[in-house]
Amino acid sequence: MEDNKIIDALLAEPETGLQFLLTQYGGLIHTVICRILPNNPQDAEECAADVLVAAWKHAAEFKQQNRPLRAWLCVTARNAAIDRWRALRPRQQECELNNELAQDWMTERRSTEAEELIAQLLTELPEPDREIFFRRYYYRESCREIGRRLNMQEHTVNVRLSRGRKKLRKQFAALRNTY
Amino acid sequence: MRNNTKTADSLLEQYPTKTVPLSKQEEKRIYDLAMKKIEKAGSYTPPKLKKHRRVPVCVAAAVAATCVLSAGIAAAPYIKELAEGKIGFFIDAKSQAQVQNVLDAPRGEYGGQQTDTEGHNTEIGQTQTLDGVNYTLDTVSMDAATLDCFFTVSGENVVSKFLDADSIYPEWEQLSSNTPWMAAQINGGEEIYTMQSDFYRQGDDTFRLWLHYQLPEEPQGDTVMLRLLDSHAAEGEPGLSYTMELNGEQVRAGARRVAPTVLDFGITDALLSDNPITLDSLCFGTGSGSLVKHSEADEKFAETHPFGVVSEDEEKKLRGEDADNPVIFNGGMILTDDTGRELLPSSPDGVSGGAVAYTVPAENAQSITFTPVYHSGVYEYEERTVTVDEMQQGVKIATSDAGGYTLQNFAVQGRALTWQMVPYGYAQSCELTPQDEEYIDTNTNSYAMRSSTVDPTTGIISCRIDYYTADPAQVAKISEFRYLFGSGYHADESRAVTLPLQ
Repeated sequence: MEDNKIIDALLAEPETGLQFLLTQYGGLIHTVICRILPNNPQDAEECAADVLVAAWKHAAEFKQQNRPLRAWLCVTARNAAIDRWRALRPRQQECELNNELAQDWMTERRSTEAEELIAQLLTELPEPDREIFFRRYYYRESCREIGRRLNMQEHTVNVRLSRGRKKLRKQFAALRNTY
Repeated sequence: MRNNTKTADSLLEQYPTKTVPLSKQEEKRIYDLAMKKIEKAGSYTPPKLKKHRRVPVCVAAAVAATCVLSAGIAAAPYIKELAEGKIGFFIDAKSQAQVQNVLDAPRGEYGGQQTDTEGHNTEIGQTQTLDGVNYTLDTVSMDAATLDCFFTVSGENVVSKFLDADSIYPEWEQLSSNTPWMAAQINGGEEIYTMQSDFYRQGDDTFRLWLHYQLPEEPQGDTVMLRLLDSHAAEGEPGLSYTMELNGEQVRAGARRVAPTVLDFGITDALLSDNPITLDSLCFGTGSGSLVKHSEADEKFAETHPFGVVSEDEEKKLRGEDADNPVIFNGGMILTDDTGRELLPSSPDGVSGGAVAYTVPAENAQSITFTPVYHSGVYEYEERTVTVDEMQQGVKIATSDAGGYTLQNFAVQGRALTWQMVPYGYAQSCELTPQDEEYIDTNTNSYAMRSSTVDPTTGIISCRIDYYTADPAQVAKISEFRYLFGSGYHADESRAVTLPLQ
């Protein structure tokens, strides 16, 4: 199903538009969220609902900009899940996701324009880093999954992410200063 | 100017991910939650008596794209014959040592690949024009395991059109991002993505492009239907699309294969032991081979961990920190034939697509031996160094207890460092990083560009770093490289499995 049909339906009749969205992207949205909230199915479903509502709210903007949906939905799902995770976790608990999020500037909340800038930087990465970053930041695949898919050790994936993040941060800052 | 730049969405299409489909109950719950939130927002009131319903997907069938291509669109294809013939991409190419600008030569070296593809190819000559740019598919070479496509892209100032003067990225990276991305489809099957590409310009109006694919299975049929699609055409929009039929017998000529089977190495299970491994396909063409495998353990893991997330205890086991279960087998193998030749895994540093490339067995080989490599203990990596002098003389570096690389042909070419790496044993992916911080300002954006390409017929990896913020004298001062060595790997010949070549 083409994205423009989903967007038109969201604008004309949300019930139909939400159904189209669920059919086409529901599995993807839910999977991205559950990679961050694997043990909270109810919260995951509520996050998924929030993503659908957000898509409905932005439908006019999507239409005007002729914007495709997949990347936007992945980022929105990721952000919704991270927000929910932060709200749920015990304040004192140290855990891996907490540390990773604390160190990772790329998962900070930012404007759509800034996300588009990051997307542009990511599309210009050479392979295999590009695929690694897309899988990590859009799909929230684990480093282990990414390593297996790319025939790499998990450690190698982590090293590439770490180096790439540093480089991207500088580039992002430089581009933001020029706008 | 048509924007050929890959977008996040088109790339996400290229990188499929495993998703867990929603059950009907989950869909309903999410739908109901979303509708409540929308109604609560107050800006929408649903019509009365409208009930929740599933809308059939067929209602939203895609509209057929109108093709706006001009000139030379392939009509019903006739069968192309494969034969020996020179390939312009290789004939016209210079080496990087011969040019001043890296755009003017391919980045890699493909002596073996040239010999192989010139042994069996066919001229196509299909040209499609988009936004004033001509995309000509010059030549195709296909065998039982690989596909190679050679294009000429031409038009007035076409190279400049693909470059952005304000970009912070080196020109080569920009062109690399803007060259056509083509998926291959064989006999109507799943789309296969490029394993490797390379290109070079010829003046401002032309550049030559090569796309290489490893096939996940041996093409079948008296005729093999090949379709190449760019990202737009793949989504049903106007785009580049080439179709042709090749002689199936010629495609498969000289092919050798190992029959699909289950490889049981007798390794006792750990949380993530990939034993047994199902060998879905191992087929060798004339130049290289493609291996596709999967494991039941991987599938079971996916069932019990649908989102790929592991618990802390499981994470400890994965890292070998669990004293009760120190052995982890991730499907690593060393392949050798019965003449003693090692088959080199030639997928460059992590390229997905399902099929892993290997060099071919000796002509008189009768069987292939699969030796499992597993890891015991905690995963630990040690940083090691190798000097430029050692690299110039040719040196072997171990990157694991079970293998590494032979380094050869190191050279300093102006602002560039080049070298080759030939894997042996269980080499693991390895990045050699120059110790350049002392001589070069590495805090600048895009201070250097790094690439590695592989010749799948020889397994030789050609590496190159071009520095943009250094002069040749500074580059020449670099005297050492660093890399990581991973301990704990063991190739267990006692558990090896040997299978006949057909």
